[in-house]
Amino acid sequence: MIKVAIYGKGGIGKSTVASGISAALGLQGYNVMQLGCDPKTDSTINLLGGTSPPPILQYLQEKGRPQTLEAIAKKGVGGVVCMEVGGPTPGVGCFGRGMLTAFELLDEMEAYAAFKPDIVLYDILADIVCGGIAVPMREGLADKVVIVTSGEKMALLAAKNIILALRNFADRNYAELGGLILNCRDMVDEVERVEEFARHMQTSIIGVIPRDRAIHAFEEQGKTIVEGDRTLPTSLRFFELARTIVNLRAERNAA
Amino acid sequence: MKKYHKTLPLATGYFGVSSALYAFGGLVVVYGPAGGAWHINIEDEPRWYRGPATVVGAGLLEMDVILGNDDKFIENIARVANGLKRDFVCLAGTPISEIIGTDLKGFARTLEGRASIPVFMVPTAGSEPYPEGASKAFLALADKLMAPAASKHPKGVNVLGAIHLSTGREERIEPLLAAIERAGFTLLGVLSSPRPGVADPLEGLRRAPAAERNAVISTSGLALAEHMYAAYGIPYVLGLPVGLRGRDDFLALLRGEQPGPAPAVTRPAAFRHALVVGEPVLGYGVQRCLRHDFGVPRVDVVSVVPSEMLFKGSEACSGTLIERGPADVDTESEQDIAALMNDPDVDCIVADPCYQALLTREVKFIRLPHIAMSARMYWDLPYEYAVDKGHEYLGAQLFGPGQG
Repeated sequence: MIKVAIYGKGGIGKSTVASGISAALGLQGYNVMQLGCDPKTDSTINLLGGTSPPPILQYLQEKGRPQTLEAIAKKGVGGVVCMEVGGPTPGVGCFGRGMLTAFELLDEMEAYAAFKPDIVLYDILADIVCGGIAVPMREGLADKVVIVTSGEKMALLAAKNIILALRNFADRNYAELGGLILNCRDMVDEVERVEEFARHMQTSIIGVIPRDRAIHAFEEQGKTIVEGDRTLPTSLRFFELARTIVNLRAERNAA
Repeated sequence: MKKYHKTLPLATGYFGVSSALYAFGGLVVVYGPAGGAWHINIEDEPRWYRGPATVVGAGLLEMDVILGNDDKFIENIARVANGLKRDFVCLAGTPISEIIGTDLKGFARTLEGRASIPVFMVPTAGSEPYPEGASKAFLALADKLMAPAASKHPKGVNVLGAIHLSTGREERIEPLLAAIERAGFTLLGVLSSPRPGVADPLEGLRRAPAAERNAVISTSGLALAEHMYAAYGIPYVLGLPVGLRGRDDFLALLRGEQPGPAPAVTRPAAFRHALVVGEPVLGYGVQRCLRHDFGVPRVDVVSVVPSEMLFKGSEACSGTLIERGPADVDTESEQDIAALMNDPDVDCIVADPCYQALLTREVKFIRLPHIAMSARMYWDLPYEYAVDKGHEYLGAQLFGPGQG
């Protein structure tokens, strides 16, 4: 098993990328678990035909500890186990602390032993704005952090902050950086810009997702592009990216 | 919500951590606000009287929490631990770290790199009973510093769970330790009470895995005993021997024998129904003494900390002095305890003096301080419970004048 946390600037396409990878892995027969870590609970919506599983934190508040994992998990395309942390109403509460509670619950309920995932994807709501958002990086949670970015300046600045946070935590045995995923915005020289950034930050680009209107068209139908038409060039990029994630798992198992 | 009108809430998890680790020569850092360790040192830790403290607070201020000044916190601890030449650092959680979700495990890893001594964390939240914190502390310490013994020590015995919140001053258990040695056993480790003449407070911990048997004398020692059975194959006996019958039964269990039949009581006390309130292992020890040394026909035990783990049955347990009776209960509710104490059928009560405030009638009351309840208040009170001394003390109380 490998657990990968996906970070990146708000609105950069983390959920689209995470769901595309999950769908590609699931359709190839891997056991996949995707946990949306965003109070908006929209990470897994395109794996579930436009619906969401019951958010964990809301479930805890309204009904108490779930009796079974099925109460908070739904299976989506390719058998991907979909869960959403949920979280406070906008403007109140503390989402970072809530994430910790959700992770502890999954641990206590032995979710990883029950679903036996080969790959776990944590889709984190934003870049590292405070200690709470770094929770998934902690020892025992994510093994790798993958950052979704475009070539835009603000996206790269967010990526840089995430990388610096990871390096700051190196002596705490936190997750390691797995690389960058370029989610293109059709900028001029976008790939070169991000390649240069990756060199500067001593990391690499592990996947490039082109700007493609088909992504948005299928998302309107509650699907990922991978589910919508797996033969499209962009879908093939997701399958490539999925193979890279599987290789990260192999590297980790070898280590 | 728990209501306390006349008594106090018992010590909680991180008090248990500090109680368990106090004597080992380490530094216990309570992750709380500035002044957070003050109440431990001033109230609940009678062993400290000025001088460098073993238990310190993180000294968190508002801006430290807001801005996450982790480096300042870590550097401060490293400096203090190195300056005081401590052998290890333990980070204990409090309601503050629990509520804000502090990564104490991550802190411990960073700190270990900078302080060059073993560092570990104990995940307490401040809402759990103190034996849970003490148990976790013993497990964490063992995980960090205990290693398999090169060879077994025949007749080697460890005493586990001797924490001041449960068993009081170190000299209170001395009669028990002496009885164990007189019976031909060698004490390897007394956790957590250093043996006289031993310079390194961690020596007992290091020697402990060579033991043939462990003796668990409070609930706080049980988890470590289970761990030591799993890791080193050491079985344990469970019980704190109070009085003569308790002593003989306990030593028989240590020898791997079954206790013999109880001899007839030579001098029965006049009481018919006693109630023992406190830590359960000691409570059941007192129960055995009152029943078999003094012929009190009914003795009920009120455990003010959870006791269910004492009765779950374990292959690691080679013998126990503890027998659950039908009227024994677990409760720390002041109202429940008051109701039990004021039952007209009860004619003798053994409990911490703080509980005396719950009585609404005159009844024989034998004072047996529980430090987790009364802290420093009765630390210096002359009382005994262990083996022969316990028999003498309880006998003097049972046959003495007045209401105790």
